[in-house]
Amino acid sequence: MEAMKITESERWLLSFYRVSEINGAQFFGRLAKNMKDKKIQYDLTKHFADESQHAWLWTKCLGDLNMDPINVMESYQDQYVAAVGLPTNMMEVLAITQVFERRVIGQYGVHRGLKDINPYVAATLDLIMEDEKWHIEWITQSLKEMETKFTKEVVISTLKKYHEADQAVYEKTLKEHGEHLKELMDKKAFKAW
Amino acid sequence: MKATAEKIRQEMAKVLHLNIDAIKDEYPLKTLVAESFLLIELVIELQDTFDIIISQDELPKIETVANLIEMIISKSK
Repeated sequence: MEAMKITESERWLLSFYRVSEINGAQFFGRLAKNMKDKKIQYDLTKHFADESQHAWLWTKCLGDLNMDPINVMESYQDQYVAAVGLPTNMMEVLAITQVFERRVIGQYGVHRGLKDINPYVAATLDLIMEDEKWHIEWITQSLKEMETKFTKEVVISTLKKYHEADQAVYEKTLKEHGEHLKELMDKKAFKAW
Repeated sequence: MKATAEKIRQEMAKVLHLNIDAIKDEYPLKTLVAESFLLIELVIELQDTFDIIISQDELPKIETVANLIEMIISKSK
């Protein structure tokens, strides 16, 4: 595959994806260590492994493009926590993760849809997006099962709260990192994000 | 498991890798657990162990170790 160049803005974006995947892996890895619910532990460990793999795929993608990752200090997860506070129980963790994963799939989908996308970036997005679909599936199923313990109303209201926060986080991201996203926005690629 | 102050301290010590004597009632939780991911890990572990639910809305009420212990004991009854 020919190593077509990407812009510095896209390099920043891939670095941001990479850091967000690393943070996700670290978070799920810690929770998966001692989880007493063995069904959730099984899926959470797979989720942790996927996020680690995705971090590696972004690192490899940048390497294949003869670029190093940019040190991005703040991940998307950091912005979520700043907006909505810390989730406190597993239902809240899974609810915020579901909202986050939907945002990630949307963002990756928009990026993948760019007409002149670099083939290395496209191949990486294709690999990752396949895993992301399963992430949504297992979390949705687990949240359904948690309705018994937490009640359906509480699960729905928690998801609603995080959906609203997600919109605020997205707007904040656009405001703070607009210069990196501008290229994609100029191509009208972000309208669906 | 039925919650007692001693059992809660034991669980906290296990998760935080601290000596149980280091977990004093008057300590602010944010001082004892400065890192946010570790705080989530701790609170989820305590909920799992004592079969209780602590929601995000309740977290601001927990300022000290004593507050956390009281809340867990009251929910564990």
